[in-house]
Amino acid sequence: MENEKFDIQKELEVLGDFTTISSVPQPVPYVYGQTLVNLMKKDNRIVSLCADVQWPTENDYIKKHFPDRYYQMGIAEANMMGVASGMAKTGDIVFAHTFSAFTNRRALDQIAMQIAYPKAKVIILGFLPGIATNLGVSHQAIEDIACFRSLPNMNIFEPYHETQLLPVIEMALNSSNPSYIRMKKFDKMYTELDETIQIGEPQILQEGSEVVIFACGMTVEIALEAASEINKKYNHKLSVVNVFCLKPVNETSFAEIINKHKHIISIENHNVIGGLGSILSDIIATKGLNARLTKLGVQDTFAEGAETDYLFKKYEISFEAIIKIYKNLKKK
Amino acid sequence: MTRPNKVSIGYLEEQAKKLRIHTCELVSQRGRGYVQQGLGASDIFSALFFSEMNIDPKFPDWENRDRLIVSTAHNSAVYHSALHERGFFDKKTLDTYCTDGSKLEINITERLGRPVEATCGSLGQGLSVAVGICLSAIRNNKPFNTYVVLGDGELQEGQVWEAAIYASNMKISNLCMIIDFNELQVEGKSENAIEHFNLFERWNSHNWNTIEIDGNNMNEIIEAFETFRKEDLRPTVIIAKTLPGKGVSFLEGIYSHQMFFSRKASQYAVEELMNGK
Repeated sequence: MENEKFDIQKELEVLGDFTTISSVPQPVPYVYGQTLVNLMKKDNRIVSLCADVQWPTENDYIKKHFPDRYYQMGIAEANMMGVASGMAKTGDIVFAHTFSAFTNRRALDQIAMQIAYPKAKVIILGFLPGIATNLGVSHQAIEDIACFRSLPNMNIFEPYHETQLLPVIEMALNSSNPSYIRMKKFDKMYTELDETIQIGEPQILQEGSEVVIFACGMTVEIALEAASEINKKYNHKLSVVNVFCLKPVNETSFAEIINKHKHIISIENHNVIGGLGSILSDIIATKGLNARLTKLGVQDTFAEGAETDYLFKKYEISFEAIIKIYKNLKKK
Repeated sequence: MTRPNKVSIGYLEEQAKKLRIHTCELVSQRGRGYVQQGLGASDIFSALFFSEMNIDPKFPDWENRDRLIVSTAHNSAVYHSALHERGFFDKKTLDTYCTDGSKLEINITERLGRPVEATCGSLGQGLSVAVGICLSAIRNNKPFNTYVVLGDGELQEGQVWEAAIYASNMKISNLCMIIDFNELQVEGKSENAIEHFNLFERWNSHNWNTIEIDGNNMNEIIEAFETFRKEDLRPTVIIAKTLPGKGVSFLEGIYSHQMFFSRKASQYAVEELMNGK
């Protein structure tokens, strides 16, 4: 066969030396990669551990800048968490990278005993949050928040916007507890930082009346869009709250917001059991608040692999689902 | 025990070629995927589906079927192609691969029903399930064999070695593991990531019937399976060295985990496969 006219490089669209490295032409900005590299420049104690997911977690960028402080751990998450603990106990600050699903599912015991219990200076980064991956049930993390919430000493963060990434990492670094940061890659580099957020505090993005939507991570944009549509169509401004910090939570601050509204909607890219909705129902019940909560999210079922838009629609983590609930509330 | 399907080596090679063509087409439909692994493992899957495994596509649930677990789960293009060519479903179904709503997912799942025996993809879990199936088969006097295909990268997961020690302790000779030794993981070639050192000795020292072959040589594959059938004390592991992109000159030896693969690239690949170079 004649291959002369055939440009393999172009056709295969693989960046770099494609005989040895692989796969993913990076969305250019390396928002996370750059953020961590900047921190590593300032603090020599920081190291990066990665369980064979260099490209998807932007660790290729980190390896390029700090080859001696990057550790390829292999496909071995349980071992990675133990090693992370050992390094942290010896003076390093460890960022451990894998997909969200492989944190709690593969290494919860090691995280509990070697990281959470001794409060090791480890920050666990989970990419591919919730059902936002076409890789299917094996790679979808629908119970990670639930698992980490019930581990004593752990912080849980889920920044929804690139401007919150560095502030969240700094919170994790400044905390005496280990942290789990759950996030989707950001596709735009930030030029400013959201300095308004505080650990444990809900972030009120807009203040309205009667109905409040609590969201976290990828669902925040969905909540804002739905609120804007409702404002346009029904001339009713709803409140929207970003829960970027899922643990610790200042229950008093949450209760204050809840008390100002009749209806609470939670929307999360996670099982409705144990996640954001459960955080709110805990607060409502234990504080004896007078509020009705509707939980949107994965309704205690496993999902399949498909495009994110399709899955979010199918599992009603969507604009449409919020509008539907709002209409039902209006009827009552 | 003899192999259930007495077919020629030439026929199996022909089937492998069909699997390669489907694999290229399926991955290029999506534009990206596990084309390199599929091409590398086509000979193994051809041997399993058309020679070794006692299965009946009309009765996928048949209780005495041989079991197969694909532990990486992502080598799905070639696996689903093999199911189609073996008659489990039609071409129209095959072409739904990786589309929204399809049961033919990029990671093989039990949503598809039998003959999928386990949903893996979270790596290193398939061998333990296979061991369980073998134990139950022995306990209940079931005559079937269980095959499990692991990628060599999965050997980095500790669970594999827990299962390895247990399997040989339990003397489950109805278990045949194939290590699809393509040396390919997300970060590229495994020698640049995590090295295996002497795999043969590692398995041998765990008292496995350990066989090392060229996983792209059909004669060696069939011979290895025959050695497995004769073994009656130990579980068998076939360390099958496979070449990513095997069969397509411009893809061979590219260690790319989830490669971008255009329709045009696929057309060239299919043309080459059809013309036999």
